[in-house]
Amino acid sequence: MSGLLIGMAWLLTTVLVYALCRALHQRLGRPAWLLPVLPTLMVLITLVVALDAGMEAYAAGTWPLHFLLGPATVAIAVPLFSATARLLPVLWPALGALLVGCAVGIGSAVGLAWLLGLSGDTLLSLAPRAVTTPIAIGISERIGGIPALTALVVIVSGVIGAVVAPPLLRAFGIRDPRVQGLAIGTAAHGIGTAQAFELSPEAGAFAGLAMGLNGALTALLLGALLV
Amino acid sequence: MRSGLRGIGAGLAGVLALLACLAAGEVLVRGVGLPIPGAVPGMLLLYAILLYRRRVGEGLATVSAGLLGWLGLFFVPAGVGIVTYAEVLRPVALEIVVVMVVSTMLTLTVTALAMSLFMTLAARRRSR
Repeated sequence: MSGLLIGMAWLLTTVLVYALCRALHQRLGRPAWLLPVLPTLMVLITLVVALDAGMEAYAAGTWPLHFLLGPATVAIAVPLFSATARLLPVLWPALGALLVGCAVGIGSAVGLAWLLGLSGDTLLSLAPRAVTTPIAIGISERIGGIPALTALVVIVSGVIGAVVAPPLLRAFGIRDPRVQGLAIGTAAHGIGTAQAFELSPEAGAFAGLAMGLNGALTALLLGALLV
Repeated sequence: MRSGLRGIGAGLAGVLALLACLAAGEVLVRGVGLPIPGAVPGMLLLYAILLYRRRVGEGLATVSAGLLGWLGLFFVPAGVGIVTYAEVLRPVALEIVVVMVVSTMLTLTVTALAMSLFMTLAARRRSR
């Protein structure tokens, strides 16, 4: 069988498995721990390993999906724009907190990784941990991390954030939905944002806003640090 | 559902807007030599355009919602790449889990407390 056909088979399999997992996720009421990308990754990693297919063959077939990360990242500007009107009354506290959160997001991941003895590309892969996955993968590619590790770390971090955020915020007495949303979006990007919408529409809008702005801020900050 | 050539035209305009912003971002990043993905300045450019025009075109809204609704699918190729690194990463798996849990909780808490503090300060300044 030619390489093109094998590639097409991987592309179709990936889309099909994801579509099935997505339908299942929606039927079960969209729980954060069963985000469609997690079971999809498990199935495809198992398939690639079991068939001894090799990453090159898989990547050669699925490049159109990887390419779509770019336009999808640009598309985040649309929900960002829709949420902007709600931001204006608390613009300066929100931007200040975003800057603090961005620094803590990078600093805590890199600092802790360093304390635990991690180094090199593993450490760099963890730097964009708090950022939305498409931006994090792009950052990891550009700063010399392992994009695959970054993708997994970011997705799993998002799930952790979505699960711990409501009890953690309650423990600290944070009741303002704007503060809840901004913190969740800064720490746990899109997966947290989905969870923030469960708290309230206002928390969701602020989470989406924080996710987009923190993604841009983290990219610029890491870019400036590493030039 | 509105269909026909106008809908397709609007959708194409949306796709072109996204690709044009992405291309502009890539050119900028390569020109300046910044180690960031071109999609980030591309997103900021589109955001600036939307703020200036104060509205989102129908086609752009549809295409964006479609892309963002399937965002998880686009991570799969990058995520599957982990098979190449399985041997290297197995010895440090626990450390990576600790970083994910602690860093996420710390970022969440500090950001929330910072915004609460800044809002209190802003309110106090206004009432003075």
